[in-house]
Amino acid sequence: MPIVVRLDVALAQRKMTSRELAAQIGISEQNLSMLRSGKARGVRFNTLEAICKALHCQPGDLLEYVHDG
Amino acid sequence: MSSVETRPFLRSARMLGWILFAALCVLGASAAGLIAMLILDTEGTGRFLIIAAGYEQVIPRPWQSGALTGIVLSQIAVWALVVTCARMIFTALTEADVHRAGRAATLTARWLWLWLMLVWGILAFALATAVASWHFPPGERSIAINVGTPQISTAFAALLATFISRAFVLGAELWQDHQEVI
Repeated sequence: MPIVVRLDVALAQRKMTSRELAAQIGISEQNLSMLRSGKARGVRFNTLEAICKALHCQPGDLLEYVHDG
Repeated sequence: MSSVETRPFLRSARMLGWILFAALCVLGASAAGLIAMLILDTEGTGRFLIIAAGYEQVIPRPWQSGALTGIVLSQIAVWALVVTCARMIFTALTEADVHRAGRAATLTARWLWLWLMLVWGILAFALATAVASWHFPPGERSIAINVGTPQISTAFAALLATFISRAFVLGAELWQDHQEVI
């Protein structure tokens, strides 16, 4: 998929573990792992909002469009 | 962060599963009761079934009693199969396996309800009338096909079940989609 999730980078920059983030935004670690690995089909606006609030970032810091060809 | 509350639905599915299990027990008990009746009073059982098929009270031969009991047992078996498959739908739903529930719903609606219950129901009645009138003199024996309110109701129920099974399959796809959106 040309949309790449940069959650790992954002977490590393803030020295936060995925477990801490999952607990803070109220989703399961399994779901957060799916999002990080790009296996999720989509992301809800309220999930994105909660992640941005927790990491003090913009949606653009988490998602990136990469050209296929 | 799911916005769908599934607990009341799963509770209903579990309850329906139990109701269908109870229905299965009733069917099993009916079958056992019929077999016991046949062993204890072969003639009486045959007479009762011949009257139920719409013929006058006669003394049936043992093979007639056995054959009629077999036909009734086959109908009970068809019902048990339908109830078992319907129970599979709710068991799968209780375990949140919507794909398995969709497959079981399709199987129940298309094959069991429509073909076994409707077609075998009509054929079984034709067989029962042939067996019940076997002792009549030549020319008076009959094979009757009964298409009445129960058969029409079964056909409507089968159509509704088919539609519901499609809704289940669609629901399974939507559930999958819901699960993959975080």
